[in-house]
Amino acid sequence: MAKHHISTTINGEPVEFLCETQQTLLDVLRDELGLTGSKEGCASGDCGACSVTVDGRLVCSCLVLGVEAEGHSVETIEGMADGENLHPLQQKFLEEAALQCGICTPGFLIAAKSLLEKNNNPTETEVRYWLAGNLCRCTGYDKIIRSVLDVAADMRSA
Amino acid sequence: MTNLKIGQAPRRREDTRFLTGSGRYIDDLAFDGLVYAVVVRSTHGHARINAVDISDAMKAPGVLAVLTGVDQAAAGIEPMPPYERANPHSGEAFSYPDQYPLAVDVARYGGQPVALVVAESQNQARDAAELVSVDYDAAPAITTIDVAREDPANYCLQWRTGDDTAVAAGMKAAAHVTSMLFHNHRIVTNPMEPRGGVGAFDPDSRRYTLTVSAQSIHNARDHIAVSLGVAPSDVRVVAEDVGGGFGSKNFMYAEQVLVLWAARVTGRQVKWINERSDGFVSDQQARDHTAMAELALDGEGRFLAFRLNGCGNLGAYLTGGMGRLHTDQFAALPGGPYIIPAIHLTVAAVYTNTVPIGVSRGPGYAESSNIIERLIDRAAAEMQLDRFELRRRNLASIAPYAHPMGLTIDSGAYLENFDAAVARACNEFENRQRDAESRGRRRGLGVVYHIKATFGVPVENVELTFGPDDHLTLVTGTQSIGQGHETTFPQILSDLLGVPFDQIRYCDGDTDLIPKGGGHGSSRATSMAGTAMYRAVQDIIAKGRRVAAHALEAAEADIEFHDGRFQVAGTDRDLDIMAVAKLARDAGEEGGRGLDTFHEYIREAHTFPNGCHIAEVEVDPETGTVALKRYTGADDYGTIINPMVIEGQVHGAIAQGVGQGLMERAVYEEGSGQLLSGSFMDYPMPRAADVPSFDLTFNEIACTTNPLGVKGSGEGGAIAGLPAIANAVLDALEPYGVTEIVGPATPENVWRAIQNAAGG
Repeated sequence: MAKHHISTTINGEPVEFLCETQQTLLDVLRDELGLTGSKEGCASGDCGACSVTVDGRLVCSCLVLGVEAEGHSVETIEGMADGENLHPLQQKFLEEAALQCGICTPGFLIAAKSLLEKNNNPTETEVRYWLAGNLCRCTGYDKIIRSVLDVAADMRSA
Repeated sequence: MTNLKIGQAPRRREDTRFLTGSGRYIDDLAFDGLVYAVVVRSTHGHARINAVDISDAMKAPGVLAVLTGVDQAAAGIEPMPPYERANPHSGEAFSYPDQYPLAVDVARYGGQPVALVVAESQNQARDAAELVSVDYDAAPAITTIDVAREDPANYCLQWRTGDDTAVAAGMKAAAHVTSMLFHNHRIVTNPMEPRGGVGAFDPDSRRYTLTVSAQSIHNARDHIAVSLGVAPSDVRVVAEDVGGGFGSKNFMYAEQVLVLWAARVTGRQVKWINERSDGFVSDQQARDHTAMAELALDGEGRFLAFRLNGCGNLGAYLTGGMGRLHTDQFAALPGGPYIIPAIHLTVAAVYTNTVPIGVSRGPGYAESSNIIERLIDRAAAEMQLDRFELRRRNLASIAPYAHPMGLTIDSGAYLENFDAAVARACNEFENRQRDAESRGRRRGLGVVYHIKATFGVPVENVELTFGPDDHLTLVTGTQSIGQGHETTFPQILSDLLGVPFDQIRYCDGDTDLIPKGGGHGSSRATSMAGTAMYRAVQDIIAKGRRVAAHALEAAEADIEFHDGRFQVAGTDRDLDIMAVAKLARDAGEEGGRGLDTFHEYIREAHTFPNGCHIAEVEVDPETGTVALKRYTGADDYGTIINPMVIEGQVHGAIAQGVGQGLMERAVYEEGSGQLLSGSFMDYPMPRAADVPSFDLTFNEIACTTNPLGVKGSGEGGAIAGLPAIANAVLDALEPYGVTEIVGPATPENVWRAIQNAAGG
């Protein structure tokens, strides 16, 4: 079966790739483009480990087909830091140890960034509900939630 | 370039790679010439396998091999041995069926591997797996302990321990005896990274290499080798970053043998990655234990005697150390931290047609803690005593405390921790209760005092090497799978040796690097490897003192070591440890080893992490919905190496424990043995909106039986969570006459309990 030629933007750079019809965006990122920061935790949209944004909208990349990326802009964990400079969320997660095994962490960071772009003054309840699409088995969420609230406060005072 | 001390909170070294998506988990690694394996799993809970037809699958595009139970015999593949095969106390052998990596003749659980398909691409392997045709004769599946117990052939072990005569006397003398039936329901551990591995075989050296997501790789190596029919030295197991384990990646698995065998057959490197749906029916599950327990009390509420008749569901096979779990960990501290002079246990474990059971945070102790803590609440209600006061009256406030089952608990401050947790948790509780009532809700508190004895592999070793580039390298047989050892172990060494943190490298996760290793399990890593490190450091200092004395032209007795320097006492003449290491190396000291030191530590005592946890819930009696509003803990994990890391460990364990209390339960269909809760849509786990922030304090009562004073911090909440939630819900529903919640406190279970109590 002929592969599809897809033109897209990933982390701000124009990217073209070939993919099969049934390949998910997650498969394309990991297997075709070598961007392995997005993880497969369930392949059913329940765990959020594969979270990316498409045109700024938070999605599970396991539920998006690679061909659907045509003409759209995808942001992944690999584009979050600015070179050596960590994004404030990455920096805060580091300072607070808001991660343990780290497998779910890219998904949480992408989801949290998406929240703060929409609302830089969320309540704790809003943060908890926004991040409820991401499962973590290590942290009990406590330090993740604190870190996101702290970064929001930093953003407001900046 | 600074030295660190124990008790400080350096940022975790591993985190930068995790935060930027650069972690090296099994599915992220690149291998040459990789091919892909997919496991064909039994679709029946119990079935005779008449034939496995692979002819269509073999013809499918890209297929390199399809391995079946028939090929297995010809290839010399042996059964996977349980790690523990006899009761460590009585010596009695456990009874267990052979478990081959691929089912032969009979499938004993839904999900059991029946065939392995290897193809050039993952999708080709998946498509071909669909073409494997298995002729099954389905048979009735046993899923519950009660049904399994009807046939003696289903028993793995039966054992009686304790003082039956004293318990009988205590029961007779009692003012009150409280008895309860328990079922500690089954959970699926579900680390967020699915299991996976890559098998390789080198035909020249005849060695196998398994790169794997697992948490105890030396033990896995030894038992995989048995199943492959080779010596352990012919197998190398490597693990890079591991995305959580929590016990479910502790023991060996069929797929690990299969990818190695497939690598030998195909001459290629063979990769298998579980999908989540595979994980639900193949990761070792946990808990699933029934008990009848009785607690005898005198008129003042002092505990006199405790009798427990328990039975575990092992699933279809005896996995890893599960036989020992029932006869050691579960039997180690019945009655928890409370003084009970007479204890007797009847312990049993049976096989069923369910996914094999393994360990998950706090195994054995979670079951026994749930039993005693819920008995205490029931006894308090029956005797009209205050449940807090009843606990205070019976907590063992002496250290060391010789538990009647044999272990000596070296240290602890139970009353202090209990009072601290209660004071914080109960502060203004009445106000919150009144507020809830004004909204038609009910608030309740559930209190638990958790304790465990750390077990796990009783041997650990470390290798400390001073490199020519002024670096100290630590190789350990423990394994970091999220606990932060990459940071905390160098932190310990920086303190003990005075070497700057940045000059200490950490290595784990490779069986070729160090002869032994217990990996991670039972909160053992820091006490075991920490003790080995401490003793290795003492050796290094002794050796260094000799070398420094010679170099500084002083008597060895005059050399002092502090802050990384060997100094002639009372002078300013000194040498840095790295300089001494270089001198030792150049002089060919210690047979050319210089200051490099290997140390093996064999466990001399268990440690006893403990603490008081209190859950506060709000129940909506109209819907049965339970919300966890507050969670308070006052814990003693001994000396704390890195408080930031410990907090995270405790948080995660709490979330897992309250997950079992609030929502998690693996459900099998009776008769067919089908797992009905086989995805995240049927098997809920706590999400960020389901838990509050936790109010924790740490009481650092140093362990007296290891030189660092550490006790291990990974499991308290997973032990306490279930009974804390259950006791809190029952407290909230006391006015409704509800006295028991069976299984997790889901809206349905709670609503039904309210209706049943109302006579509905």
